[in-house]
Order: sequence, then C-alpha cells, then structure tokens
Amino acid sequence: MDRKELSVWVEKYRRGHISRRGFLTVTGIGATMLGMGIRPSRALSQELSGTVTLATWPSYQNQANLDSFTEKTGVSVNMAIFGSNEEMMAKMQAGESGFDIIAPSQYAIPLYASGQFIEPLDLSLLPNYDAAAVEPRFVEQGTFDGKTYAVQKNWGTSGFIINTTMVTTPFTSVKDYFDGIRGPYSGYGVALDHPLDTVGFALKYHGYSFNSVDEAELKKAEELLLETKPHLYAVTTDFQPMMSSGDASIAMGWSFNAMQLHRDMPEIQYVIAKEGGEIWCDFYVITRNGPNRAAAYALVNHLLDPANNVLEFEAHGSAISDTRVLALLPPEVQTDPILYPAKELLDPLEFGIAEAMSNPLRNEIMARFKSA
Amino acid sequence: MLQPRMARLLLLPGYALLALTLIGPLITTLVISLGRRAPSGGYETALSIENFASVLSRSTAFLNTVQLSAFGAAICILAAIPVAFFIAKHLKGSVRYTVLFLVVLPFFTSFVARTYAWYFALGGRGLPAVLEWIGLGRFRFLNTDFAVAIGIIYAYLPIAILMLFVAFDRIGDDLLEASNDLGRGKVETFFSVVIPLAMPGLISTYSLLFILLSGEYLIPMLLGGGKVYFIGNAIVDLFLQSRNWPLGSAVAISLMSMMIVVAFLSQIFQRMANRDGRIG
Repeated sequence: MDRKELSVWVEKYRRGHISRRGFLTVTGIGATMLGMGIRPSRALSQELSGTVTLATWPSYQNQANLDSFTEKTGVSVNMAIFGSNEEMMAKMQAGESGFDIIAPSQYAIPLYASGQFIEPLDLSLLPNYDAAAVEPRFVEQGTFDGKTYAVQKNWGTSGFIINTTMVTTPFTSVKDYFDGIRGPYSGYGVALDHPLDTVGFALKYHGYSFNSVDEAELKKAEELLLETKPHLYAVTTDFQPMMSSGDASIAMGWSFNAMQLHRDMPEIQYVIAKEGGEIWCDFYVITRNGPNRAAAYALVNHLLDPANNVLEFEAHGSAISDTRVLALLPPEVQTDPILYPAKELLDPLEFGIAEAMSNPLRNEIMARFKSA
Repeated sequence: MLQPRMARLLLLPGYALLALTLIGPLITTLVISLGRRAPSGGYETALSIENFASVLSRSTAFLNTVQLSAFGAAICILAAIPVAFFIAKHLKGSVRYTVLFLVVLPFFTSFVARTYAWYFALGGRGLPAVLEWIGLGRFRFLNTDFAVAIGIIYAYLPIAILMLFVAFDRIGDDLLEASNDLGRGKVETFFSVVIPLAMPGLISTYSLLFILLSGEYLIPMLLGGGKVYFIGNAIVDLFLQSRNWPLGSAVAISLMSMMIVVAFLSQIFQRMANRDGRIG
C-alpha cells in the first residue's frame, strides 16, 4: 500500500466511515502490529465507566481516537483546553482540578512530580508504551527521581516563522529576528506570549543559555525585550491568523504552527536559529487522586496504540519519535525539514528546564515586558 | 407590618450570602496580597507590603486602562445621548419597546463571539482589505488603541443607551413644553433643561462605564494583541502566567481602591448635580 492509499484510509477512518478494526485490516497495520507483538488491547473494558478528563492544548488531539475510546469502553472523554503550561499549572496549584490526564511539556514535569501532583506511572497498565521505541533523550525528560512519570506524546522545536515574500533579507539567526524587528520589519514582528521562549530567545541573542537564571544575563535580556516592544505587532501565541493575513511577517513560534502555516502558504518558512533555541516534548501524565484513574490509564494506553498514534499525528502535525509509529507513516514525513530538522540544527537546541519555568525573575521580566 | 426585630432576622440569610461571596473573597485577596510568591509559583504565607510597592511597575498598564476607559466611556455617552433621548421622548408605545429590545439584542450572543468578530473584521483580511480595494491605501487596525476603543464602544454602548434612556424618560414632557412656551427653541431646551435635569444620570452612567471598563480584559486581549494592555490583563497574567498570586492580589486591590474612589466621587458629583437641578 502506498502513501496516498494509506492517507485515504486514514481519512476514511478519521471521518468514521470505517471501523477501527476495518482500518487495521485493510491497511495491514493490524497484521504488522501482531507481527511486532502488539495486540489491540481489550484493557479493563468491563470495569471502566464514567468520564475521564484530559487537559491538553488547542488542536492537539484526534477526536476519532477519543470517540473510538468511548465506543470501546463506554467512558466518555472530557477535554480541558489550555493555552500554556503556566496556565495549566496555575489550575493544578489551585487544587481540585478534576483532571485525570494532563499533557505537559518536559519542563513542567519535575515541578508536577516534586509537588506530588502526578504519580509515577504503573507501566503494567500501559502495555502499548514501549520505552525502547522512543528516543532516549525524550524518555529521559519523562523520568524524575529514576521513575517514569510521563510517556511521550510528541515533540517539536521553537524557532522563527517568516513570510518570505515580505522578509527578503537572509534570515538564519536570533540576531536576524531582534535586529530585523527593530529595523526593516518594525511593526511586523510577533513575540510569543510565553515566558520560556520569549525570555529564552532574548538570552540567546546575547549568547547566553536559553535557560539562564543569572541576574545580570536576565537584565540584558530584559533590556532587549523592552527595546523591541514598541516595534512589535503583537505579543501572542495566537499569531497564525496574523501571519496568514499578512499583518505580521516574522513570528517567534513552534514547529507545529510553522507546519500548519506552511501547508496552506508555501511562502511561509520555518527557521531554526543557528545560535540554537528550544527543543520540547509533550507528554501524557496521570494526576494523583484523579477522579477516574483506571480510565486514565486505559485512555493513555489507547492513544499510544501505534495505529491510533498515526491518527494523532494527522491531527496535531507534530513530530513523534516512537519508531513503531514512524514505521506506519509515509517515509517522506521523516525527512520533512520542519518536523524532523537536520541533526546539526537540532544539536545546539536546549530543552527548557523547570528552574527556568518557575524562576521568579524570568516570569517578572515577561510580565513587565507585556505591560510595558 | 413586620416587627423590626423580625425584619432584621429575615435579612440574615442575605447578609450571610454577602459575607460568603463578597467579604470572604475580599479578605482572602487581602491576605494573599501580603504574602510571598512560592518558589514554583502560587502563594506562601508572609507578612509584607512589598507587593504594593511593586504595583508601580505596572503603571503603564494602569495609565493605559485609565486613559482608554475615560475616553471609551465619554464616547459611549456622547453616542448614546441622541439615541436615548430619541427613544425616551419621540417614540411611543410598542415601537419604543421594540427599539429598546433591538438595543439589547446583541447581548443574546456571546460577548467572546462578538469580540472575535471584530478581531476578524479589523484584521488584515477585513476592513483594511476593503479600504485598500477602494484605493485608500494600506491600513492596519488590529493591536492598536483604535481597535480596542472600537471594541469598547461597541460592547458598552447598549448599556449607556439603556441607562440614559431611564434618565431622560424621568424628565416630564410638561417641563419641555413649559420651556417651549417660554420661548426656548428645541436645541436650547435640550441644553438648558434636559441636560441639567439628566445630569445625575449622566454622571452615574459615566462612572459605571468607567468602572466596568477599568476591569476589562477580553477586549484588550483580543483586539490589543498584547500591545494594548489593561490592568485586567496584568492581573490575569500574574495569576495564570507568572503565577505570582501575591502581586496579582496587590494589583487587584489597587484597582479596586481606584474604583471605590471613582464611585465615591461620582456620588459627590451626583449630589451636587441634584442640588443644582433643583435650583435651576
């Protein structure tokens, strides 16, 4: 079966025209999975009931997978959508969130784990999770105190999204971003409404670590941000409409934003800065004392089923490192420069860390930058 | 008639509800504002007024809020006066109530949806595209004071119309006729009779709009794009983004104090206007 045919079947399945079993049979994925020792789980379906709540990001889950889970187990799935890890954490810190599963990025996991918000995973309840199939650097990010707290959902990078019809000078670096916005592209730049990235890139401009919490370094980053503020068009995470309408021509953003924009408008390109930037990974974690723990495990297991994960990929368009999923995806996906950038571009990237996320000064700098 | 003691007893549930939903949260906010941000965000017990000193670091947001609220409330009132006066004094019977119904009709749709509509209307593919097509040049409206002002006026105009309608409706037709009989023209009557009599209503409408607008958060967020930033946005960010609850509470209390001052001044001005109205 070639890529085109597969995508036709995926689409049919996504729209509910064929059943999951039919999809697995006709595409041969079911047989492949059996060969690989993966069985579609009947996991605990007798004991499950009620509702399970998944806290995640906008356009980040495939509804078909949630529907098939409900069909299989009778458990209905509730989604709570958040704009940022910070917001999600604020809700968790406020207590009694009612969430069973959350989808945090790597830098939030140590804070959740040390704050007793999430539990070390009982991997026997997640037969579809295979740590050996996931890249070690991502497995490591889900581990805290030697225990697995999180299983990988998808990963990506932070960089710059440019409209090449409007940005005509070469654009390869963090310098090009801040100097361009304070220069020829004044009024057309967007900064992310996200402390880790915006403060992180301002630090990179001066050659410091993306995760620096050094006071003197942060002071220089703040100066740069405050100088740039009057030249910006917006400070937001919802910049895709502005980029596609031409109101903005340079945005700091995430690889999946770039993917979605580039698909509709090929002139929109993604740049990973040569100085570096951020690599990130989102996970599934299970909350401590969540209302429906059994269903939470069953749903995570369901989503990690490689065939279902292919559908997840179709929905969020972010890179997945699970080799069993990659084997089911068309080969050109793995060579896509936005999704799977070249090694020399990836090497200088840093994972955002918990200390940077919770650092009071970094957060206050972001807040002052926004209210300036 | 109820015995006074009995009446007081019957008021108890009301007081309890008020204590639970108003006084309780207020005290909580005050206590949090004296605390300290926990290492990974949130609140930690402490006793310090440091947070109130840090409120000054948000002075740009305060200034933005006060300017745009004062301006927005003024434009709302100026635009509402003719409409409200027309409905109160020139429309009768069912027509009048139909028009009033039309004024409140937008409230039947979600506020978020209506503001999003402006987001797209003012964005590059909306109004600017139309203006460019006509040949007026390339405009950009989104994320400016102008866009936020449009959003504010659109959202709060119906409230202004309703409140001023009540103010004008109270003025007896006989007073307008008397003014006419004494030789004043319509325009003169409007400025020398209607406006002074409606002054307490105008003042209370203005101060209510100002107070509502100072707490506005959604309009600057959507139409200001992080460039036009209200104190409400600063509070939301302090709670949800930087998770500095103590500073967020301190800013919230400062905003509330400002509103109390505005409400107090409004009372004084209304009393003065009432007295002037009687003398005039």
